[in-house]
Amino acid sequence: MSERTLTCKLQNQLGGLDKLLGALTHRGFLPKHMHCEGQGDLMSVRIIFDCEDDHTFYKLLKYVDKQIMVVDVQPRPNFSVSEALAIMNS
Amino acid sequence: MAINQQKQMASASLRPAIKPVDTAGSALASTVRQPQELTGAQIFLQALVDEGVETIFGLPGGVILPIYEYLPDYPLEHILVRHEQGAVHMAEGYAKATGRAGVSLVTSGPGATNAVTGIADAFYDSVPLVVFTGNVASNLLGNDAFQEADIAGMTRCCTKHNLVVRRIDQLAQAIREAFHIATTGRPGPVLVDIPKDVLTAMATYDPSERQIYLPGYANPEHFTDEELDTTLEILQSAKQPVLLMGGGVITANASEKVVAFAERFKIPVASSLMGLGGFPNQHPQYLGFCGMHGHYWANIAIANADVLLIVGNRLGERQTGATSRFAKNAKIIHIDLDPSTLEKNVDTFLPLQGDINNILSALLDKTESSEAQAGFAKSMATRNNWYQAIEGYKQRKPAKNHQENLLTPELVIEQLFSHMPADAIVTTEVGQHQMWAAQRFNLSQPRSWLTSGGLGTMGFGFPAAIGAQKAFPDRLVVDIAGDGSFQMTLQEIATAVDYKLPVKVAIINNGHLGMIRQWQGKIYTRESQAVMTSPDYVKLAEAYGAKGFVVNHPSELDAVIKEAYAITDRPVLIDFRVQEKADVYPWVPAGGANEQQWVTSDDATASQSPQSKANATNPQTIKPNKDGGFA
Repeated sequence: MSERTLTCKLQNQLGGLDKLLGALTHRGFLPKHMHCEGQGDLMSVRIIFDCEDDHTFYKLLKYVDKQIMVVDVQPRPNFSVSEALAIMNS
Repeated sequence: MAINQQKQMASASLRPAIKPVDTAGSALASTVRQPQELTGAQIFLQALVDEGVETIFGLPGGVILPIYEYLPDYPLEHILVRHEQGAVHMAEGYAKATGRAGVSLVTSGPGATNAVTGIADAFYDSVPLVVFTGNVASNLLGNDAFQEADIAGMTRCCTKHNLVVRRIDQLAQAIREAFHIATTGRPGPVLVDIPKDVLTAMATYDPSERQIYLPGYANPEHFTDEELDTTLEILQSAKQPVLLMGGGVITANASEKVVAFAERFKIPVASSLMGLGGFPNQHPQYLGFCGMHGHYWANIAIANADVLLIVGNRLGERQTGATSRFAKNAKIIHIDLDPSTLEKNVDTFLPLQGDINNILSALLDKTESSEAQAGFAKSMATRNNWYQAIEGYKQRKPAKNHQENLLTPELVIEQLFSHMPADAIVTTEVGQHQMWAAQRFNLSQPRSWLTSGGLGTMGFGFPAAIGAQKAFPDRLVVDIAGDGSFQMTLQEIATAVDYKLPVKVAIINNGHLGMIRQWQGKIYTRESQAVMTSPDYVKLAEAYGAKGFVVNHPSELDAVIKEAYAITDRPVLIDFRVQEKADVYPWVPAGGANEQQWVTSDDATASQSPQSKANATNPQTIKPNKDGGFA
């Protein structure tokens, strides 16, 4: 199983953590390790979970990235065309 | 006095007079130009006025009574519904028909949970909605208080955004942000939950304050000049291109641009269910509707395309069939504003993230150069061959189900369309009638086809039609409904009567959950719980103060439809008592590739399992196997 790390900042007073965990659970991913820090407007979150498939991870990143309560998702899901082609052809 | 006369007089005295709609505002309304101390309820209403809201679909409840106390003072028309699901679907119909945000106001607890289906429906179809829910006072949150519900938690996964307003000083900004989020980028529903104490608190409302704080919200465009050049090269060298458009074209108001683009490149255009109306139906380049029950020639053209340009389309699996086999011969270019839609369901050669209008305009600009013109001249030489091939595909189609002395659903729907003016609006429920209507849809204006595509919500069409009729009181609005679907939200007949909204409901009444029966008959082994009774719709209409018709024979169609369409002061129900068991064709079996469509019932029968075939003719042959299951 490939271990993945997703980090982001989120507006937790808007339920951002709930939204992030819901996105993972709905897709069948269970966090192995989670670290949250900060109580202010933007909480920093790091989640480690298993996800075998690159494409599935990429789709999850894009979904999380577009959530309004979530800021600065890493790794960045915006691939260039050449990177996208490299992944598809690999 | 005869007993019947006595009963009539008694019931008349119990029926309250319908009050006229409150539209006039007091001196307070819309005159707040300077910062002013207001209650939360007044701030709520004033903020809606300042957002340009004219109509709210709602139902009062305990925690939102402070709003209703002040509502008559504001220039907002409130449409009182009979069920909160109806309120949200009405707001959806209003939003889909106009492109503006639809607004609903519901109370806490069951009021809020009743709205969830409509909210999820709007989420899956990218409809701009702002739904306001009341909640119990802040000090009661978490106490299992009367009519308390964590509606923000419940709708976190089916809203574009949601929030609970914790303090009065957050209220105005929350409303501004809600409308901004709902109507920009890829539209969607936003829920704003307001505890009762926020509505009764006092704060200063400053109409000049327009701050929005959304650090996580952006709608960037990611396409480069190099990618546009690549797109142009691909299109110029294409021999069998297809443009596949979706509902995003209509949402983006990009229909004219798509037409211009398709004409410049002479590309045939197919549409998803949600894109119908976005490309003129009578245009010679229009292929029609593709997908599970789409036109055979549209599906085959896509399967044989060497270049597939996808525009504003999320490629749901009802449209693509088996995604692993979708358009396998094509180089796919996908244009969409939402990055999470790109490369989600289908592998794409070139994703272009951005507004459809901007990308197509940029491509059209590039075609002006002499180099591009030369490239085009070369590729256009083969285009006629492609159109000839498509004409060949069109020879294969299901037989018309027109039978003398039998009212068939297909004939009814064809007649409904043939009597419509060009600016009619059609809504549908979900099921067989929806697919027959999509196949026969012949209007050519965007926002004239309002249906529930993603969530597939039975009961959507009638309240949506009410919302659309509210937005366009002078246009003909027809809801094409199944008898199963209509019974889910028919209580809103009262709403349509109260506000004199002359929606026409064409009930394709076959006494079944038709699509369920169709699947059970061909895919499963027997019918189960698919037979459904209906009330007498004519008597029901009259009981509500609407007008009802019943049609039993093809010869009655013309006169009834004309008379129904001419009624302008109340809703109309037309009970079309159609053939009980007709199937929708063409039909792609679930999990199959689109080019493997069953075009006729013979194709489907040939594919049935032996057990299913046997059961179709003799249910007594159903026997459990030795493990206790069924074949």
